[in-house]
Amino acid sequence: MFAKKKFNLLFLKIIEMNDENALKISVFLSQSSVDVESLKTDLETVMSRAGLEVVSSQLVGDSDFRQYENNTDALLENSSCSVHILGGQYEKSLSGLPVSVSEIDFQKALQQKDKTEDFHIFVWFPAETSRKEIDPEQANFIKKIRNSILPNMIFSNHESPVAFVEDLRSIMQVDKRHTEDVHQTDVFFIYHELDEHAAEEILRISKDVMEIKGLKITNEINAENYIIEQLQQSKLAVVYFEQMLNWAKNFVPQVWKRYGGASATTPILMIADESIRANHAQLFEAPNVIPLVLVHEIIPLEIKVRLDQLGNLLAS
Amino acid sequence: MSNTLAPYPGLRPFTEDEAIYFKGREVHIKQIIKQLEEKKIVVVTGASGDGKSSLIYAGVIPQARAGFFKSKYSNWLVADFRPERNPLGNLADSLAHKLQLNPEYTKKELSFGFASLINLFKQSDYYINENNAEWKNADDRTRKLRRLKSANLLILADQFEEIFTNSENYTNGRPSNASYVVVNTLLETARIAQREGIPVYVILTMRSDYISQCVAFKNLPEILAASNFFVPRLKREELTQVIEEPAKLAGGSVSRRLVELLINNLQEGFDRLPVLQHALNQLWKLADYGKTQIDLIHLAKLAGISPALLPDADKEEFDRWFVDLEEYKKPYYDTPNVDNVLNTHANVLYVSAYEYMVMHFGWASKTISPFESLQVIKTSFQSLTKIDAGRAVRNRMTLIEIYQIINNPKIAIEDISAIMTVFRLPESTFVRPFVNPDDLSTEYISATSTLDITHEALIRNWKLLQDWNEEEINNVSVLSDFKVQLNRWLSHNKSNDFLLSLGPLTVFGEWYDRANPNKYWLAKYNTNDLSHVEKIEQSARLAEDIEEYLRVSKSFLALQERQKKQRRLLLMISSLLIIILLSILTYWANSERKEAEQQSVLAQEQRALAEQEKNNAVSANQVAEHERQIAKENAEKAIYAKMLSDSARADAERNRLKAETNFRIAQEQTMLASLQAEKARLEKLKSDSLRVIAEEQKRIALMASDSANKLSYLSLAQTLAFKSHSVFEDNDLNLLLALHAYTFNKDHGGRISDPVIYNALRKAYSLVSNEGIINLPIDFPLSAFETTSNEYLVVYTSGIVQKLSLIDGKVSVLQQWKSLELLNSAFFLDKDHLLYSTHSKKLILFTLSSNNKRELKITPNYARAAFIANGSVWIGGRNSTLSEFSLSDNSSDPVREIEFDSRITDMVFVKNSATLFLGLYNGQLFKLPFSSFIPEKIFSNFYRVTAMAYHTQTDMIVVGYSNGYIRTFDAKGNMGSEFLSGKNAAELMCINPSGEKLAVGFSNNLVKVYNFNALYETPLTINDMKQKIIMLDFVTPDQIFALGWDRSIRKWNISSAVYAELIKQKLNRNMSDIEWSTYVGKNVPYHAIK
Repeated sequence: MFAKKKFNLLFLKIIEMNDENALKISVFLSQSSVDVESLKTDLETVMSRAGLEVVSSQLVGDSDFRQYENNTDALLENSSCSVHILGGQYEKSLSGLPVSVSEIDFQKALQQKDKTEDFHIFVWFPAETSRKEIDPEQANFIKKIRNSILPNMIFSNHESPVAFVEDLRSIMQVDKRHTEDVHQTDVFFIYHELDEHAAEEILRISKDVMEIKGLKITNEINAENYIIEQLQQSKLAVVYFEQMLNWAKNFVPQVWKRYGGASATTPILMIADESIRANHAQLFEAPNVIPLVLVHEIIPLEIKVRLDQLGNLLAS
Repeated sequence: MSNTLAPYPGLRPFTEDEAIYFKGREVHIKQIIKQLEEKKIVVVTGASGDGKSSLIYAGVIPQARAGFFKSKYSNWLVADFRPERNPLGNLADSLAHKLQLNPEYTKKELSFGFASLINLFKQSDYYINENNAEWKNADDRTRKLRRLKSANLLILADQFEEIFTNSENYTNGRPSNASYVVVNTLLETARIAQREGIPVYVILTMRSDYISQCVAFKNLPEILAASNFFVPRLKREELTQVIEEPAKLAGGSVSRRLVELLINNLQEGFDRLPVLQHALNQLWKLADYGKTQIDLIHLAKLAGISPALLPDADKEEFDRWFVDLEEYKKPYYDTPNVDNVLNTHANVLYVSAYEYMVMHFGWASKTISPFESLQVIKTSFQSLTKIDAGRAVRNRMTLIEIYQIINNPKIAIEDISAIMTVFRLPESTFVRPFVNPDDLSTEYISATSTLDITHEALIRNWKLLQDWNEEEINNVSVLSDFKVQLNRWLSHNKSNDFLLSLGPLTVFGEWYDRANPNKYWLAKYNTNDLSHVEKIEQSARLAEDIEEYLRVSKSFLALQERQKKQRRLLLMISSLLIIILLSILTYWANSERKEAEQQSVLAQEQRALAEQEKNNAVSANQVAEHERQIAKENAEKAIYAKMLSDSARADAERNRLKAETNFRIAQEQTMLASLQAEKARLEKLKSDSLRVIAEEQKRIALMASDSANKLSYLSLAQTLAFKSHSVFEDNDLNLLLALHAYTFNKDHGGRISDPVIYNALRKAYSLVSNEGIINLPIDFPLSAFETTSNEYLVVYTSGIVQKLSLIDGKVSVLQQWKSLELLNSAFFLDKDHLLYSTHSKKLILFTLSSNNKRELKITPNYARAAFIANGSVWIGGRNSTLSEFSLSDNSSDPVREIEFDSRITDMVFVKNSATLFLGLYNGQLFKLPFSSFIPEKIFSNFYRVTAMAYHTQTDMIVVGYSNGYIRTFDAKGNMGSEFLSGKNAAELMCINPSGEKLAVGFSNNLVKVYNFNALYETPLTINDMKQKIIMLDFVTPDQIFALGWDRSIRKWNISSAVYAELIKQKLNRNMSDIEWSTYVGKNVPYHAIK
């Protein structure tokens, strides 16, 4: 029952993060059983020291389920992630419900995850606790979590709270800086500067019939990040080469890998100009990569046909 | 995507080809590139197993080639090398190969150090000197052509710590001259490149525990301080990428719960990544190469977790699987954890190596026993590790060096190669060089090939190898102690005073029998600054000294024993003498005692006389007194004599007892001597019988020499067959080698269809003939059907159907149909009907003659097999349903549907009995008589049916399974024979018209041809297909037709005799004497072909 725990007034602690460049991360710390209460206190302190903003439900005494639920939803809504410490006991303490508060918090976190794409759930089953005796109901609950881990959910059994918080912080600190000059387009056309003459002719013809954005790769600039971001904003990507087979054979797999491989949404046409004999060798084949060896003159047409087919597919 | 590349490489580092699967280090790759862009050199350090080599080969280099490295030119040359035992030579060879220079010239130039490497680059065509007149005066076109040819140069010294671990490079804290030159050259190269803006970059990868030894080289510590990249530990989210992303890229997936469990259960410290990669490699295979999601149950099957942690349904499946597991594997599941996966795998290979050798290598002698094979593995691995400062590290050795250490005349060098193959297979990659599944000749390694344990994680995590190394450490330690004693003896002119006593002799003798320290083993631990040959010589002398010291000590001890025996004999003789002496003394004492007694009696009488005479006179009294005095003296004498004789008797008694004891000892020794004589007699009898046996064996040996002569020709035939795979400028030499291999094999009773001879002939013939390979006009064929001889229907992914004529190696298009849709799959049912499924999820029955397309309502994309019978089309698919569609109407709905428990993977229709045989995904085989349409299960197992074939005349059905088994059944469903074809599943099968031969296309693109009359023989194996096989058929009883995904059509004859004849017609000459002597052998009589 809640009466077993001490209650404070509801308040939020905001601590400056040690790393000035890091984003502020707010963490919802769920309720846990009394046997891990001291671990939970230590964890809260460690998280504060790590510059994380920690919130948890600290309702007074005899609150009912509805009140508790609303309060928890509000706290989760304002958090980037939730942390759940698993103890050895299954404490049912809310208005006679047959479910522990810890499990209620977990279910609420799952609901929040369904609503918010980036929401992460961190479950900590301390190694020390796992070696002690565990209630059968709690063991069942733990097994259920363990066997149903979803994307953006982490199940950890670190010995120490510091190691656990290190993992949490490094997962949550993602640099979301965007590259400028990235915008939506139908076709993203990439070529090497040593194939400039042939490529720009294709670009010039293609611009008459479709929305196409070109990028010339040179040795002086590393455009990797820009390429990945622009790919996300394009319906179709084309990597064209005439002389630069060795470059293209390495460029396309690297980009494909960075961009998500088989699960990427933008298909890549790898078009070799058939005028060079060596281009007829085996090209890179993978899901979402279509290698073609074409006569120079029909390349713009091929790009248009592929783009239209893509449009039809999306429409259907 | 190539399906031969697994997304997890196991213990070995990632190669450049596997760059797409190398995940989790994107940030680190960028950091290294940034350092290289700025400083031209970076030293990548880290603990063993942190992935330094992978980071460069699969991270930095592909990024550079892809253009994500700011540099002068667009192309990249990578000259990589390992120092090994010859750093200067290896650097020179790699650089010469890349810059297309002469290796000897390059080595000579590099030996001058400093700017030598930069000069070689600047002189090459890959560098553009923009200051010279030629460039300044060139037009745009010329400049473009030059820039297309130009390239940046990256020098990569991988495993740089070998500079310190090989005594040829570094001894007692001092580098050799060659290593010094190499380090100087590399550092100067980076310095000049940075100063002058030349696009040359240097990377060294090195284990961090060798950092302190870098002080031996000038400027190297400064470079370490200025441009070091210490490979960081992977964070949790990076480890998640390492586990999840490669599977996704390869079309598979890993469950989240397994990802979390793997990360949580990985032990800290060394080997985290190699152990993980190895486990993932095994998991990938167990999950059917990504066709099913990798989950907890797969890890449990590898003994990576306890089955108690599995969900209930999976636990039941695991329990069923465990019941069928081989008994010898079950103990490994007692202590399941992630680290145990590698240990379990290694143990399984260890136990199964002998069986693998017997099954796969006809050329191995197979004369060794399973026990001996285990000893070979143990000694091989002990040879491939060495003890360095009390810890086991890798030790590269050639096959012949291992053979010399094993030192057992019964074991041939080929046996060692064959036994160790199982550790070199792609699915294990524990020992290099790896076997390439696309090139079977890599199964064979020559005597001078170097073997190397792929990663030290194997040494640290395979418990058995740890035990062997413990034993080796102990042997080395005992050797060290022994040498102290030995040197003491030698330095004292081999004095007997310094020989070994019984205790040390026993210990060292046991060590000698156990370790078998021959000169090759001793040379391994010879740390003197000598060449390899000198070390062997020095170790040979040491071995002789060891043997002599032990022998002399033994002899000396034996001598001492003999001397002890002699002393005992002397003692016995002296005891006997003493007995005799004492007997004499006893006799004398007795006589004295008797005399004394007599004296006493006399004294008594005299006293009586004296008494009688007492009364007579005073003088008589004096006389009597005198007489009494005399009698008293005599009595005293007698008492003294009695005392003496008592004492002598006691002595005599003691000596008598002692003499009796000695006599008993002497008796026992006599008995012992007679026993030994008896033993000697028996020994003589034994040696006589051994002599008889030896004579018998000599007789057998003479008989064996004849058959050995025959075997040696067969072995020569095999060797020539392998040699014919080498690249020679003169193709005639390839032909001659292959043809002589065939002739020797045939003339000496070899197997007519020997696969090695066959492949040699076929490959040699392909060098001089363009027959057998035709390319289709369009990419990505899906299916083909032979309508008449030399005419085929082909359907392509693009939706085009063509009727082609293939005559004299040329393709002509006779007719063409076009659909506007892209296709997923297609089957020709007969020459007029094509069944296909489209990207837009429709299933269409296309009648070619009428151009009619009819949509069929069945779960789309899931038709796995189909045929026409009784006026209907029958389709079996992944919806586990057999559907019948009538050909006489145009309806989209099936007229009949029959449900099964699992997806239908293939079917064959037996016309004679109007019965359909269906194979299912769950491994069940059904027959369905068309008289009743009631399915009847005829066979069941846990492995899915992958392919089926039927032969009309023999009424035989052949079924292939995913575990590599192939079984035959008759038309009633009774099983005939079964055999294991290998680890890969059969995807296509066909039977030749006579019903004697079965051709099978496997998932690894190999084609094997089996003889039903000799299933135990090794099949012919053809490895020409580079991509998936679409169609396989016998066009004549001895000729196979195959169509590949790469649109190539190939025809192969399966008769060695036919190829031999064809080759003879192409030959222009015979072998010269020099060629015969070089390739065949001086002692083999010359034999001309033409």
